[in-house]
Amino acid sequence: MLLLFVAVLVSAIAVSYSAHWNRQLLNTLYGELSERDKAQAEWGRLILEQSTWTAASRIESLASEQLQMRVPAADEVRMVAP
Amino acid sequence: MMKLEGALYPWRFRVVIGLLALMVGAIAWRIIDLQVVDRDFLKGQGDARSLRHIPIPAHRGLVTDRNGEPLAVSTPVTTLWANPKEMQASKERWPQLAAALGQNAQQLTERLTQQASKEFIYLVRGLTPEQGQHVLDLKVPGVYGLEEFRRFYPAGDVTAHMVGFTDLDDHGREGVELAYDEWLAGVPGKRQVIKDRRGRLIKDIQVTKNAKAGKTLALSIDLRLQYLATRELRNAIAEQDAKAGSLVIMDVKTGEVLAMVNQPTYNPNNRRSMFPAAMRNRAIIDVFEPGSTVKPITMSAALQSGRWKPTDKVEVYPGTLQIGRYTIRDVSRSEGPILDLTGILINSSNVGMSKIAFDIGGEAIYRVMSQVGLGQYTGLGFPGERVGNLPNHREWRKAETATLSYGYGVSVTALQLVHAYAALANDGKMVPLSILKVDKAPEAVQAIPKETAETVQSMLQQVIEAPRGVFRAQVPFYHVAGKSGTARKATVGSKGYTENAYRSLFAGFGPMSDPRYAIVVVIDEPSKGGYFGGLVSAPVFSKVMSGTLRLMNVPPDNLPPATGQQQVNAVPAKGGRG
Repeated sequence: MLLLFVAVLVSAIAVSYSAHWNRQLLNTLYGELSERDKAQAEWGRLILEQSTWTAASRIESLASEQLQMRVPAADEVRMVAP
Repeated sequence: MMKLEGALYPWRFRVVIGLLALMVGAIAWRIIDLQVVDRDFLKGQGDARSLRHIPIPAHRGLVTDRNGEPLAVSTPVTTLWANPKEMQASKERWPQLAAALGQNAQQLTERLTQQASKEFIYLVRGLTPEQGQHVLDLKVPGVYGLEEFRRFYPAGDVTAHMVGFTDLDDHGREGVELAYDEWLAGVPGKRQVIKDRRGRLIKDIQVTKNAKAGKTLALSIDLRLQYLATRELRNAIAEQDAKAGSLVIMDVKTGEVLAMVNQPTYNPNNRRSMFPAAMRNRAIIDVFEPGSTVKPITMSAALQSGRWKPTDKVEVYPGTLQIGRYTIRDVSRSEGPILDLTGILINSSNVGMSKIAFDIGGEAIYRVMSQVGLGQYTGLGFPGERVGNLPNHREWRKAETATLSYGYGVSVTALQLVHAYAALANDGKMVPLSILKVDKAPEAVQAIPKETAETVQSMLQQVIEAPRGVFRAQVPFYHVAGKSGTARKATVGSKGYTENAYRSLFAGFGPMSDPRYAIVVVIDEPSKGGYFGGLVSAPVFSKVMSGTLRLMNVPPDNLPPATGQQQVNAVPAKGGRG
């Protein structure tokens, strides 16, 4: 009888402990998830930033205006056999 | 049981007691039923009043070009919503909220007063997470945040027609976003929480279903070519004061569409700039009569029939041909009264074409045209795609045969036209079209015999390089081939053609050493400085082809012989971003 009583007591504590543990793990999960979302947001922003900086129109105007680059004319091109 | 001697009617008393006992029994049974037998019912009722499922938004997949450049990116944004009922208690904080939102305080007050009985209104959608947090930090009662995703299109108007856009709720509305919505969308997850009567979150219970992020979609287009094509088309349309235009670049070996641009276009990041005419992906959903650009296809039919060879001569004098009530006219004077087949293409003689067509019959032309996909379904599944129309007459009369041979009475899309030219360029092999990146070239169908295709290729090279050819389409360093076309626009809603309204077309491919890229240029109603395809569209073809061959690192096959003996250390024009 006493043994049963102790067993019931232990299982009762175990139940509340596992509920608590579950909540803790869930909290950790949400923490991690929000971390991931933040990283993803950051990544999206960086990608947007990168594609803004590397936009073809920007590169083109930089190349032609700042670096004075241009497509070589016909008489400036030599074919080099591979 | 007590004695009921004094009672007048003892049986009445017994009935009352019996009924009371029955009631007690019924209540006891109901209690047992609820607590023991049917306990799920009460539990369910309790849960229904407090347990809620909150959707976990799924990240929409990325759309990229063939080199992994992002074309559509989802970033999380914060949407603020309010419970006006709850907000009535704290009116003194409204001006503060309005200031934080950047809205007019008076307007916000009006809105909140008007909607006082509602429990949900959007305050503002799509704030950056920082801005949203800033407002939420004010802790105005009844103001809540909601996480959503917003779509950004880094390439903006350059890829607008291809990529399309999504609506506020992240569903595809146009273009690839609509066509591949399921692939991109992902599956939203669910989490279970307990909320109180006012909808405040009390406790998280569990994640019932994890959100599944959408998958990345790599398109076949090359952003560099797309940009190049947009720029050249835009310049040409501005120069010619044209109404609209399209341009398609295709890889003839893999069937991939490398660029598809239209003018006018719109910026998908700014919905206010959208108007319906600009949203048309004209290359796919506008059909037109291809005019002279189909003459090479008719020529293939003639060569394929075995009755004609390139050196055969046809009399085109005097430049007109009477069939019943119709008169077929050549648009410009031919260089001589008698031309060979190449000469007919160079001079774009309708009379010559018609005479060949009478010899081989309309049926033969129809067959080749349908084999190269004119007026046929492309299988892309792009929203709004049109099939065009290639009529098959039971009996081919002369007028129908003649008009078909020079591209009238048949309607195609720019995409079908480029596909047909790609087949010519690819030695007669039709590779299925694709707007997605293709790893392995799909199986091709031999639509035109190899020898015929090769003959037509060299004829088309002559069309550009002959003394009377379309010199404006020539590309420095490379041999290319192509054919111009000018088609009168059919009148909307009635029979016949509009006066002085033309489409200037050019279709071609290159380099001739090993044809790789096919390009079609369509310019709608150029109104300045002429309307001939060879005048308006050919220069665009030349510039875009030149840029394409350079960017794709195609070795030149038409370099002028080197002058001088200086040390050579230059590498051929290298493409790629700088």
